[in-house]
Amino acid sequence: MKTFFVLCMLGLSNLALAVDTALPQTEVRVDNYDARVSIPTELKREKAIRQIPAISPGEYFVPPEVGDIPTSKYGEMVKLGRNIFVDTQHYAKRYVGNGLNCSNCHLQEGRKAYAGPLWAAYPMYPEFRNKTRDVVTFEERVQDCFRFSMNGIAPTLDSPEIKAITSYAHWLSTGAPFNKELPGRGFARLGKPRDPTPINGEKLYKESCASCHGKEGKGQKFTHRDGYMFPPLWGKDSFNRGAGMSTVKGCAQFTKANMPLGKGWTLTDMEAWDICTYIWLQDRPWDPRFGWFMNIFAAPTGGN
Amino acid sequence: MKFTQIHKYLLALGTVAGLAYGTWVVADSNPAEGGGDDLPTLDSMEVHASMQRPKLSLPDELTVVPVVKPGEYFVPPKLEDLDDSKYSDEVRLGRNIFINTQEYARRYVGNSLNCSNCHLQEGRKPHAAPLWAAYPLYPMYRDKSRQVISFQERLQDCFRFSMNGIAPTLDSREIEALTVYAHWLSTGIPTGTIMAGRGFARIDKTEDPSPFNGAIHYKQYCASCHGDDLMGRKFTNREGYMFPPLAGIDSYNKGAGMHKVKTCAGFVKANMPLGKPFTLSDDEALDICVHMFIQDRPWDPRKGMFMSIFMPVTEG
Repeated sequence: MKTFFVLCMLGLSNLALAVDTALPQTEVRVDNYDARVSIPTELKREKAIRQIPAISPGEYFVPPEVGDIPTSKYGEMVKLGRNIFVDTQHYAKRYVGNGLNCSNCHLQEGRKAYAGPLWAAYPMYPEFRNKTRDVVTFEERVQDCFRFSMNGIAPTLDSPEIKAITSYAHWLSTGAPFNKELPGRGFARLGKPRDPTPINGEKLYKESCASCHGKEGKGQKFTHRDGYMFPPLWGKDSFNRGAGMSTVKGCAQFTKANMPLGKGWTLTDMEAWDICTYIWLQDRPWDPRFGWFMNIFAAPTGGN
Repeated sequence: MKFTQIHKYLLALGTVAGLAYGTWVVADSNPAEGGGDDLPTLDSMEVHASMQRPKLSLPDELTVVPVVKPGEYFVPPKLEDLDDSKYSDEVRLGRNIFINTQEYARRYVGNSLNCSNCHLQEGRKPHAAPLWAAYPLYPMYRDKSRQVISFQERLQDCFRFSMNGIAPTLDSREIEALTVYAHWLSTGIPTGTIMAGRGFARIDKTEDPSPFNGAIHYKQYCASCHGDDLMGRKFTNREGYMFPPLAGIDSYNKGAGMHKVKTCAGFVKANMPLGKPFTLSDDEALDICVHMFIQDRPWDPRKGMFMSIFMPVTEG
């Protein structure tokens, strides 16, 4: 009887495998490209184990080093792009309306996997985007960053700022194939076991985030230059209501993979959802797509 | 017994030779590096994220793909593989613009050419300036515009010079669709890679080209399709040219890359006569292109009337 059962299971699993391989090649299957070397088994929280990716070298695409920027006009453009990216407050001051730099969210100068790395984004564009309901180029995507996440004014498509950032992204993705989803693209993928509560979120925020971002969410400024070392999570120096980080989902995906700094993937999915609901409830600059009436009286977007 | 001894001798010999070669290589390569003076100076910003991550050895040979054998070029994806997403719709629109510019981008075009008149096989043919070899390299520094330009700006130059028209704005539907088409054609190519088959063929000039020889070669090789008067032949069922005009008002203007004798010769050698590429010699191609160069065609839009009429053309 037991052997029969085992045989049945084997047959079933074979069937399942056959079904798996019949999937179309273009379909994105996260499980297949998230290579995992060792799963830390001491983390017993719900869902935390499933999604810890490997951080050993070579698991993700490795962009070229800063020292390898060529000495050419192209290299100058790349360096300018890097400067804008790391110190937006100085190099793209007139287009920025808050106190953030690009690298406040795109960690490690846009290199860190699962923190919106540029090398994973650039080869995918032009791409259809739900937010704009249009196929947008990489330049237009960068414009949206300025408009929403930086709460500023979008530079024109032929402005040196946009061109420099595009060159920087192009250089970072040297060797990354076009139109292929690379592992580490965007942020973490989350499950949602229950509806998030801001009450639990407040508790968790005070516990694990407030030491750097402050109890008021104001962050901490650099002492020697403009911009924030720990970015403000709400208030007038933060991203506005139209930003991707202002949706609970986008925020939770980022938090799960990267926060607390240096201890990414330690929060559970649900904890990330809770914290981000708490952050979402706070005051921040208005959505530039709406007028004052909608901004005051309508519910802000990105709630679920 | 004897065999093992030979084996040992060979091993020792190989070790010695390998060490000697290694030292020679190292000694040879050391002065070439020049002490790292060429490295760019880093900005004194406190974030040096790239230092935190272990570096994989990037394969340097990836940046140049040296294959030149026929059939070993990159193969872009097929049109049938497109699904019905919005992205694919843009790709189809871009392809339509590319092969039937006269209808789909009519208001930006000043002559009667289509993009695919020069970029043969819908922009797929290697050594006919394929889109899949161009797109991964942009943004790139370009001598003609003397700055780093994006792919969209490069397309604008095509409209301005080769199509003798008006450049669409960077956010126009046409530029975007063409960019999407190029992006789709280069699916799978590593960013920043110089692909084999990029641009046109390389030309080695052995003697000064003469338009008199060029006229003879033209009559022999080209006139059957492009006509004795270089005016080409139109499609019968739609607008545009089956065989593009090489001179006259329907041709590219004097600012176009094809107006340069060297570029034109590279194209002619790699693609002409149609279906018989690489049959002309380099000098024959140059002769033919000088013959084309001295014909009348629209003026260079970068220059005014005075310069266009009285200044000798310098690009020859």
